Amino acid sequence: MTEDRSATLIAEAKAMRYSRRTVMKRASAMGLSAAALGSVLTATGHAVSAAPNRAPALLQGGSLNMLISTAFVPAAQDFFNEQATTWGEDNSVDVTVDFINWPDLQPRTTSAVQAGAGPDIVEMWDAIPYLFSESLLDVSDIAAAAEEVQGGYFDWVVKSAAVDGEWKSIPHGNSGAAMAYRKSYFEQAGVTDPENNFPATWEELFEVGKILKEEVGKPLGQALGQSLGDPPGFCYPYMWSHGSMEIEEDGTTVAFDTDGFREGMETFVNAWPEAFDETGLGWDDSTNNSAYLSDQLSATQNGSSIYLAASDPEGENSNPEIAEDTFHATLPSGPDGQFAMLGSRSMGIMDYSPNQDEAKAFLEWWFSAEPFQAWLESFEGYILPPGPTFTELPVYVDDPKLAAYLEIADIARNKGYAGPSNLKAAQASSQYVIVNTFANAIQTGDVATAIEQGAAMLERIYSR
Amino acid sequence: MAMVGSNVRRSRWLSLYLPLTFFMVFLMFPFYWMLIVSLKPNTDLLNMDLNPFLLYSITLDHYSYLFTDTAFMRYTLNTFVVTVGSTLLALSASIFIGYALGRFRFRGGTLMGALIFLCYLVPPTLLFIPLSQIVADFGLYNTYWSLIFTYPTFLIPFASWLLMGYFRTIAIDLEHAALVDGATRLQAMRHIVLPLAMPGILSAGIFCFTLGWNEFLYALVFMSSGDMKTVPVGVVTDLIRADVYFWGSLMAAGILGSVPVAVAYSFFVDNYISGMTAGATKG
Repeated sequence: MTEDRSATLIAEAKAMRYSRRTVMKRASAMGLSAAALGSVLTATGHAVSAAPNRAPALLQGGSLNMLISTAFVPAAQDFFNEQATTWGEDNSVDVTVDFINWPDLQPRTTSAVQAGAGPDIVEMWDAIPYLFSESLLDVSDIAAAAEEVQGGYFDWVVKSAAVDGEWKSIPHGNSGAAMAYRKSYFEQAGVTDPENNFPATWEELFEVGKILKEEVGKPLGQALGQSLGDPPGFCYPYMWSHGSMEIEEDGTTVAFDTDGFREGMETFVNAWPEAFDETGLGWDDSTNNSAYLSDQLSATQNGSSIYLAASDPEGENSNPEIAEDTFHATLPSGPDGQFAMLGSRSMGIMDYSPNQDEAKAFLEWWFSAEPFQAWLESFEGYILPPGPTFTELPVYVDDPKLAAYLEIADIARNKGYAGPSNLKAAQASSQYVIVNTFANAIQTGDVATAIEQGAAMLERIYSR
Repeated sequence: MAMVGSNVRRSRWLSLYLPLTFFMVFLMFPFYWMLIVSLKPNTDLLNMDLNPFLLYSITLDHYSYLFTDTAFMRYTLNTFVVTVGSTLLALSASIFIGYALGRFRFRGGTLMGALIFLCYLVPPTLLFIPLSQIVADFGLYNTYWSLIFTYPTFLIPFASWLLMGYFRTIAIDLEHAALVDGATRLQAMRHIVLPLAMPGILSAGIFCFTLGWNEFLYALVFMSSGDMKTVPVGVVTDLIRADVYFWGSLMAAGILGSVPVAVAYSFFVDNYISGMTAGATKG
């Protein structure tokens, strides 16, 4: 039966010229296993094998439960589930995966830690390993093996996922943020060859933005609500590029209120009504996606999800016209440089878990080259790998429109820079100190007071 | 005479129908919005050239996705079991608490009433942490019981406070008469007080049902593995993928998820009114 379905899908994919993602979606809908999917992908020219080749370990009769955040790419979520299930079948381990909306990961993990019961493996976002470090198993050995596979970890990965230099969880990268923009609108605004000539500095972008809003009728869009992704994805790099940071390298000196940052904020506040969609103050991570996909914006800072969603012919937000007109650029630079914010997600094993052997065995396998590469590819370039090994994969280099997302790794800083993404950085982030400073400055027009209030909050957090 | 009639009608329109229309539009708009978003094709949802308040074409794809690609029916069943169970448990306890605090005078009674109300003010975001330990100790994780036993932590204080006030409005002479006629305290409560208190009990039940049906945090941390999810947790998990929201299906789930609450309201509101009338004419 499986062979029949595989053959049907192969014929269908060849006839319809399915993309890799479409093949994976159809395979999921047809109930094909990861192994069968691997053979279909190979036969259709999307050669990646997801079949776990590892010899079964002596884990007979065990169980394993994982708590993982939902994936923007539905096929990638299904693919991970297939990987886990197939590994479980091959190793006689009863594997279950619970996917959960990512802002809800932390309360679920908190509850599990308090109760001493719950999932065996938990996915964590940046800074969270610090929060639960005492409840996580030391996985330095697996992280070291994975680091070899990755060709070493990027600096932003070490600073955002390691806990005081120790590995309490194993990093697997994250999605980055760049400027997604409409080429045609930038051309209408007078930018020559915007595909290769996106405004290099913030001031240049704001100037073009004024024309885009006034004359083209398509403003820039930036989410500044209390949301975990896009608002900090803009505010932190803008702050860094104007010589400001939460804390200096000594970990105690707050370096937020600087002359350069005040000037930069003044520029931004002045540009807001003239170049941006002013409702952005209330936007969350999803609003700018919707606004861009509904053709209201000329540009917005985002992960590659807008482009990938528009490009997917079977997706809920499919829009080939917008996809074709969309290009990406790294965030512009300020007087003190060009930056992006990145923090790695990671997989941790809870110390209360009665299934630690199973958890370790799964992660050892999953972080090995073949399954990890297959998982990365299932995201179609949305997730940046934690090291350089896989950055040459076709999903990253075949589509030049996604090149900007790889360049981010070279200019990325972590939350809490110049310190690590520790508890204090996590607290500043969860209280939206940086984001709220920007929002307050726009709402009140009083840049100096907004920055002073932000600095005072950071002082309180970092002096504890 | 015609002018007098005209003035009466105008006055009635201004004082009754106009405010009523305003409130109806105000209250019904969220449901209207959910309905039209759930019925719009994605192409219309993101097309800002169209008036967002109108329907230009209709699709049932979002409902189809909800029923075929998520376990929505199972989530609804879970929510129903948990909500009915916790509401019955909370009402049972609250009737006795409310009766005791509303009817008897004893040392510390007022303080106890205030403390019960204060319990309601403890935010679930704090309470879920110690409750996690208790739920784990009793081995209730990911079972209906985990929520049936924890929801009363916020349902009982609310319902007790509400019933305490209601019991105080029932004339104590009726109960005394029953006691004089030879009824025991429990018999007087069962045959005299509870029937008269039915409107209050139903009101408390409606509120408990609504609070339980919409609860998110406890459902997320105590019961959200596999298919053991309630509607609020399940739809968020299945229909929000990172920064992409499946708005059509989310709104479809919102509409369908509010139906049981609306039914409960309409059913009990009728009983509530009849109970009020019966109470007024008896005696």
